[in-house]
Amino acid sequence: MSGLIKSSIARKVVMALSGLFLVIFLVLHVTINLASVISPDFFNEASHFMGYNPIVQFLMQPILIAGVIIHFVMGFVLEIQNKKARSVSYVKFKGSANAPWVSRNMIYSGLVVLAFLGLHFYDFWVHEMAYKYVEVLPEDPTRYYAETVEKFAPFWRTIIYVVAFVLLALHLWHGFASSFQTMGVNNKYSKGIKAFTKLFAVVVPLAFAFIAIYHHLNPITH
Amino acid sequence: MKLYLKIWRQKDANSKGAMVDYTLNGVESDMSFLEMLDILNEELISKGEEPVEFDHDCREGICGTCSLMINGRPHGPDSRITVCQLHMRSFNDGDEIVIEPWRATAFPVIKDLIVDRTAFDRIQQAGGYISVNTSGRPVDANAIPIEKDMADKSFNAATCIGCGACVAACKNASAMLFTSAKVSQFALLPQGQVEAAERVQNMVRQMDLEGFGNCTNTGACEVECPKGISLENIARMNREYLSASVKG
Repeated sequence: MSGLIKSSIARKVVMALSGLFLVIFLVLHVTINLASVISPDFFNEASHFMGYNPIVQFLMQPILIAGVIIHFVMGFVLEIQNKKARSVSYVKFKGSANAPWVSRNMIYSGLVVLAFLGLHFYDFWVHEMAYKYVEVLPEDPTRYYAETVEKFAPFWRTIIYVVAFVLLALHLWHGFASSFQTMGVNNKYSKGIKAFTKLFAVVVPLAFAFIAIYHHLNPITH
Repeated sequence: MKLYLKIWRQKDANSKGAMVDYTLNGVESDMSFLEMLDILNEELISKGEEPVEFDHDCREGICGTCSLMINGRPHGPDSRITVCQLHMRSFNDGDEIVIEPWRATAFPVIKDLIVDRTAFDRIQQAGGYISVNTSGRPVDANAIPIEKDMADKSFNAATCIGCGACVAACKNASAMLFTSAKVSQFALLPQGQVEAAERVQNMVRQMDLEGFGNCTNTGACEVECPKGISLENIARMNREYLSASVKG
């Protein structure tokens, strides 16, 4: 088992499993976000539940943060090893001849998503922590919808979010199906997995982008 | 045809190399790529210059010795062939052709375009063999019924000639396609089952020790492999490795 921890395949499996875990989280996230467009009341209810339920707060949230950290730290570790594996570069290297752009640039799409996560955490998570634990303000199950819509009032923030979702789409386009290959799944279901990956990589980021643009264009008028 | 060649020249493993420009006239379209290099070398020798060193042996695409990165692609622009099977008809008069050695830390340059690929030998030695007796005493290998599908997959994996194009093409210089082909050719046959768990663990360990990169499933190796070794083999090796490691 000690050899397993150091092995390239095991590290790739860690990357694949943490990635798939984050994919599942994205589904939950986009579902709740869509409620903000369809039913503000339900969105408030769901957000309040997520914000105050002890299992979500003290078990699921730390697991999620760990998942994010494991995924990007391992990504960096693998990238450094990969760079070391070719210490002298080619004068001419035609990567586009044999592999798609998305698969060759996961580190860059990942870095953009990671940078976005910094802003996203600042926008929502830091705000929540301050509300609950620093300012210790009373519970208000009706505040979430207005807070969210207000966040998308500035044009620059909406644009940054949309750009990040485009890069998320590119990251998912390769990463989702790739994680199955890493875990040893390459069989009659692979075609279906690849097709589903493309659908998922377009639909989920598109839904996120739609929500951001929708709230930007539909501010709450007092 | 007239060609403008840019070739990596490096005196030995410890020297710093550089690209050197050569202009070559009188190249015929029916010449093989290696014949074109032979002509260049004859010219260099007649001028009293050091010829360009490159690896070659069978010149019919089965030995895996020739190993050139041509215009940014292993074995050149055509698919499913080695450099020796590449012909000058794939190029045009006046073309610039960039010729480099395989680039991987695990494949250090020995001289000019020749790299040391003994890392592959060491991976193979770590487990790419069977020690059961299949000589007819007590059972002849041909007497063991093997499902056609499995036999074909095993044979396809065994067609790997160990040229290293997979490593050269991979942006991470990963040797997963080579190693997985060598694991798969045995993993799919009953004779390979005896040492299956040990084999995959030892070969992957050796592959990592040699300093190859990690597979990111770009699929470049499969596209550039002269024998068309499939990514299926990598998935199989991952399965074999994980189950062997979990079982201890």
